[in-house]
Amino acid sequence: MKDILTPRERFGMLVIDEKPDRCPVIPLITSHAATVAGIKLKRYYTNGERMAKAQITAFEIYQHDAISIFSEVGLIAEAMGSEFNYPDDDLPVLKKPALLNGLHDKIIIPNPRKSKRLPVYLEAIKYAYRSVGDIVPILAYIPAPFTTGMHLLPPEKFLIETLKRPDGIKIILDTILDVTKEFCFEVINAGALPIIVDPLASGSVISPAIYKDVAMIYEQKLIDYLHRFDFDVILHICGDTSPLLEYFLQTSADLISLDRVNMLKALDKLSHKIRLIGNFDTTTLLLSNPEEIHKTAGMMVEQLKFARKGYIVSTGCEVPIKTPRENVMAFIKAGKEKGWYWV
Amino acid sequence: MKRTYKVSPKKIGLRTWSKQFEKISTETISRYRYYNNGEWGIYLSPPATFMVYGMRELKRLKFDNSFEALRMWGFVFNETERLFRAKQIGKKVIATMGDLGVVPILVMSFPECVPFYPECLWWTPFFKESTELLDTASKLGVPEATCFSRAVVAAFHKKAYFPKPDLIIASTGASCDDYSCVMQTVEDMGYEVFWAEIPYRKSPEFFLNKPKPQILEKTKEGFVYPKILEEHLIREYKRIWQALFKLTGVNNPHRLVDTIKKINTLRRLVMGIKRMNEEAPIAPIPALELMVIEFGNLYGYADFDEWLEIVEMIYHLVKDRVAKGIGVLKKDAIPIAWVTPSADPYLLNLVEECGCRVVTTEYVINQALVQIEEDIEPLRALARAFINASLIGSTEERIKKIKEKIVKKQVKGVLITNMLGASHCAMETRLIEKLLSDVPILSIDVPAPFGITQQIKTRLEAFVEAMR
Amino acid sequence: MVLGIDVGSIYTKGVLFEGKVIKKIVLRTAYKPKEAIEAVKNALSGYEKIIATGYGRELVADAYKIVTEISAFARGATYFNPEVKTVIDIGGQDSKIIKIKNGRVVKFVMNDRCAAGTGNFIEKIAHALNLSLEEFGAMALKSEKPETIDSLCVVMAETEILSLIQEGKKIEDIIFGVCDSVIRRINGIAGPLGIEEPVLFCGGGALNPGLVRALRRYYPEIFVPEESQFVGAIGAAMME
Repeated sequence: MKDILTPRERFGMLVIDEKPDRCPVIPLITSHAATVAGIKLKRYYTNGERMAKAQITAFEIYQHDAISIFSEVGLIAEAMGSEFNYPDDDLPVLKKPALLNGLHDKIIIPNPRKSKRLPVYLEAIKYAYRSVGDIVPILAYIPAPFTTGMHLLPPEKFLIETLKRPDGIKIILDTILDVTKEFCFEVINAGALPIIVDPLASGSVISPAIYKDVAMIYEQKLIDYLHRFDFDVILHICGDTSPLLEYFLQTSADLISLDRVNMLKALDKLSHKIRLIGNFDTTTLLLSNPEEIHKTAGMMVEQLKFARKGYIVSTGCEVPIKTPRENVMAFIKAGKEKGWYWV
Repeated sequence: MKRTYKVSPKKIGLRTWSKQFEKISTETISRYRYYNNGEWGIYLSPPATFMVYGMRELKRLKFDNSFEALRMWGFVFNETERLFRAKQIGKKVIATMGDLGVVPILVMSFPECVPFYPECLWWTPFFKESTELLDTASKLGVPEATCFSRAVVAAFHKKAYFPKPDLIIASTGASCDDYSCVMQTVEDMGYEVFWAEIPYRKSPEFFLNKPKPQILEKTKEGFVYPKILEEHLIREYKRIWQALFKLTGVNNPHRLVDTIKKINTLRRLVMGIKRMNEEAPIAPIPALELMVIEFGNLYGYADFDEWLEIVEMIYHLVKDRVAKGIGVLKKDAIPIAWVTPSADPYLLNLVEECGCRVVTTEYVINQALVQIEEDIEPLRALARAFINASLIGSTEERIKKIKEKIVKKQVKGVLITNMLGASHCAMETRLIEKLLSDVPILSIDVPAPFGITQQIKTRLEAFVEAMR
Repeated sequence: MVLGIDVGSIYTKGVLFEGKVIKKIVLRTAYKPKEAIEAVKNALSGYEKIIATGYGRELVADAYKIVTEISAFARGATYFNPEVKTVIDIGGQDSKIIKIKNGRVVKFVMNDRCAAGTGNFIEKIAHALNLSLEEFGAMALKSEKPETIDSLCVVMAETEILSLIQEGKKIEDIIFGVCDSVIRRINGIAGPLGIEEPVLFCGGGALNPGLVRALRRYYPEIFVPEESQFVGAIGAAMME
């Protein structure tokens, strides 16, 4: 079937509960775009124009349904004082958290338009929006406060403090929330739809109780902020989030992007209220062959395409940086073929 | 009529508006909703939201900074969503085309029927700064030479801009021939189209030497017309009424009387805003916002009651500004008249940036400004109101009003914007230039999206210099 | 003393002016308008203020005033002949017809987008015939009567010219016909505005004797100033 709608039009229909020509196909093509464009990763995440161009190159080759502006979740923590190394061929690595010695250390209140790599994102958004924003949505991945918190303190310490000094952590998270909101404001005015990523709130990392009492509260607050703008908010959490499924309804996210979860369960528990995104296994995507990927992805799409509130064909997590192009193409092809709705 | 923030009138960009929006309480935001639905009906969002969803031109437009204008824009930009929601909750969505504001009145007189104008999509390529719809129309066989309303063909094909209408009423004849081509193509695509005919408004002299003598009638405003014109229109309106009856199974002429009253209320408010804008020493409202208000007269952007409230709010805003002697443009802005609207909203901004102020307009939509008589049989009243309006008449009649303003020195120049391919407008320019020879005239062919060039700016500036 | 700068798409013109032209210079803009502007300013020093006009007028950062080329041409025309009622400017990229009264613009029209009626049309045809612009102009003067070229489009006109050559028509008549077609296009653009004499003819087009001759066929009372390129810069300087 040949596409009738542009990715922009397709996404527009999905969020008003109408069936587009087919499911949007949005594998989480983030830093993988640098591989597609043939540039070093460091150039990708330190230069907005490069990041945008790489994303546009990937879009032109893959013809998927969104541009993703993202490299890694340390972005806001870095602007608040955590230090990162920039390897040439890898993503930034946390060198020294801002609150290494505890909550009494100083954090920086960043300028959302100027501090560290925040302007890289904004530049990338502006470039992509100018260039292809009329036909394809631009998504900017924003780390949720909990995940940023885990980059401001050493993670194990952060978790201990949430139990020992919840009030102190609350002050930190409130500050992060304000900074994140301000950054979202800039992202919006540059032309992108913020999508919230909270990978470190995964069931693989924290207990459902900490999720419910800490991480989720701040997801909710951020989502409320975006809802004021009348945006449909995407929430992405990697790893195994099976125990958290019930809570996702409470976040009031409009679309939920899932990773290692039994999607039939999600279909049952969430799909009447939330649009589902997911969840092709990225290890399979990296290591398997195009025929196999095409087949298994097709089966996944057929299972999920009739989710009540709608469905976006996607990978469970980011497409691995070195994934062969043919594999991604096979995945997208399956999504487009099997995700067709119109007669 | 509680306003949530106070600002002195100014034109502001998108980012400033987002900042202002942050000050509005969440409670206020949830107060304004269309079809009174609290879940998806909330529409008070800043231009940035619509920009993020693809309306790229909003990035460079300037807007009135009032809360009232914010409410208006949010509502207007939500129309696509609103039409889909209408259908989702079981309303009947009726496409009306080329009728210049009468058929929606009939449609609104049937329960749960929502009228809309597919051709108003011609704005979309400009707001999106995208040729996607126009290119798709070309691929579907409606070539470049057709006016921008050809975007409609692409929209019917894509099914992403409005739901499948329950009825499509296309008016042809003395309205616009390109709409007619466009709708014929839509019909060829498999849609069923109900055709209605708009007669040309002939002057009585036309019949002087004809063998059959004509009975003449006179409208309230003193316009003399042959009675057959009125009869023709009533016959067409009756056919449309029957079609709507067949669709809904309801036949209640009293509702039409009520609708006319409501429409008249809206038209009175809009006329009031226009008059205040004309007479105030400082422009109380930007030309772009005023045009959006005037367009709303046609059908209330698919939720008439909500639109009426919005316009009422703006009416009070304008009244308040005029009383205080404040406004959005400089006092020395040069008053001009504008003939036929520009498809590109940016041009309206630019005209004001160059130092002009639009005090009067001659638009297609003037047709929907006149009052409808309430004390006669309603279909006749609709016909008479239609005859009394300007578009279907000769060019000379259409620009009579502008001529008067030139004589009174209320207008120092005339701007004409042509839409390429819209033959009606294209032929008219020369005629208008001839008729209005006493003042500087600038005519511009509105280029395709994103096509306003330095050369057009130069011409606008020179036009201003010539008037100074 | 005022410096009038006319930043055109192809040439940047400057005049030092105080009641009359004191000194003047013309330089190629060549896609580097800012450099051309600086060069003009250096060459014509001693001014008190700058008034800028032309396509790149907004690039003159320290201008005291900025005016459109349309107003500047209207004013500049009166420097040469106070009686002028119409200015016809045939430039490289566009053409303008400006009606004036007491040195002020009453009305004006410009051609839209298309090369027809501009210097560009002549250049393209000359190129196709393998002639320099000088040769082209000189040949037009030799013609007895112009051939009729109906095509407004430069691409179609080339085909038309080719078939006239094949029919054995004289090349100078064809060339004069090309000039005539440009002027007829100018008449078309003017439309109801009308072209009232005396006419001041300026812009790059006025340097082409073929076009001057063709224009004179319709409007005997035309006036081509010797410094036709400087009308805009002079006019700007006069708008102090």
